[in-house]
Amino acid sequence: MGRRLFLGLIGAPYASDLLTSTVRIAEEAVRQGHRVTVWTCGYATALTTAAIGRSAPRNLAAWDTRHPSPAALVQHLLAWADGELEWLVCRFCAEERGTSEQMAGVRVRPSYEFMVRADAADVALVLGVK
Amino acid sequence: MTSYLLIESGSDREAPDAAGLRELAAGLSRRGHDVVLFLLQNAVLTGPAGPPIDDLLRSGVQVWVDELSVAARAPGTERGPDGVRLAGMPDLVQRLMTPGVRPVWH
Amino acid sequence: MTVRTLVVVERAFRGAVEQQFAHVLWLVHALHRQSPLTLLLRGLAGTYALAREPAAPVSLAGRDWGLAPDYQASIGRLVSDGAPVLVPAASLRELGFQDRPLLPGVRAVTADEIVTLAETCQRWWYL
Repeated sequence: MGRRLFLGLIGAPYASDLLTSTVRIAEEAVRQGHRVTVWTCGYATALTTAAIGRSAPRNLAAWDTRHPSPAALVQHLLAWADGELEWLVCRFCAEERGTSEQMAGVRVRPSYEFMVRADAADVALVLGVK
Repeated sequence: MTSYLLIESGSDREAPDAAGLRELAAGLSRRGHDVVLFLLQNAVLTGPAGPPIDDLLRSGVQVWVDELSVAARAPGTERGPDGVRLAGMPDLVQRLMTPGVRPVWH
Repeated sequence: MTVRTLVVVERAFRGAVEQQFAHVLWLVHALHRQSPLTLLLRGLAGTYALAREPAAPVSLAGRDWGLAPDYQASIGRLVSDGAPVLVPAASLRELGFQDRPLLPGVRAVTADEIVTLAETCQRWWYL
């Protein structure tokens, strides 16, 4: 039977393979029948801002090739997971770092819900440090 | 007896405290707990062999190494030393979501 | 059953000017008020445990800028609210601070005691 997994992604992206590992774990957990919450803090909240759009900046050396942004990745995962994955953003961190305007499908939540949701989950893992 | 899944993402070269998690893994194993240390990201560069990994294996810790992380960083070393298990996300998540397993990410 | 979480802090001094009050120990205290935590200050974060006067804010362009992070006050609040605050004796030795007094309520622990902590806490987070 599926269990509830809470992944607190609090480390910053673009510094390691932390985001890659997080989405690999989330995707596999959904694949194995579990319900997954990804909660972002710190600069992980910037991954899904509305301003990012679907494509990363283009490579001058390969101008015709478009590459998906992290926001597009999260949109893709949410669509694929069909309700078994939710992506949440800490309001305090978003206000602190100017990432309050988030893309559709991602919800901004009050910071106290971090612990509430971690406690409600069967498994709660915190990835990275703020 | 408790089961643990300790996930180490950092190499000693960038995260000196990676040694702290290995010491804890060995300490828990010596007290009779069932410990898996899963190395992924740059932690697979801690070294396929040598004191850190050998000591852990001798302490009874199961050492699993993420296949994808190895393929990206050190292709050709996937076989690893005896006792180290090449693993993937299905293995990690299966252990992670098993009731009673205590997971840690470092 | 109440879940007790072992929170380990290793990275220290993550941005005085930008964090001000919102540093990791402030966060740990806020979390402890919701769910019981035990705090272990490892490595460089062991310096947070040392008894000392609070730091002054950074002075920039003719003014003291904002509030300097007051880690000691957060530790005091954690201790008052019943959270064990621990520091490995090994971390203090590595930093050369083994003879320095610790903040009231903070206790140095051995490697063996840390293993016992890992056994007795149901959750274990690095923050």
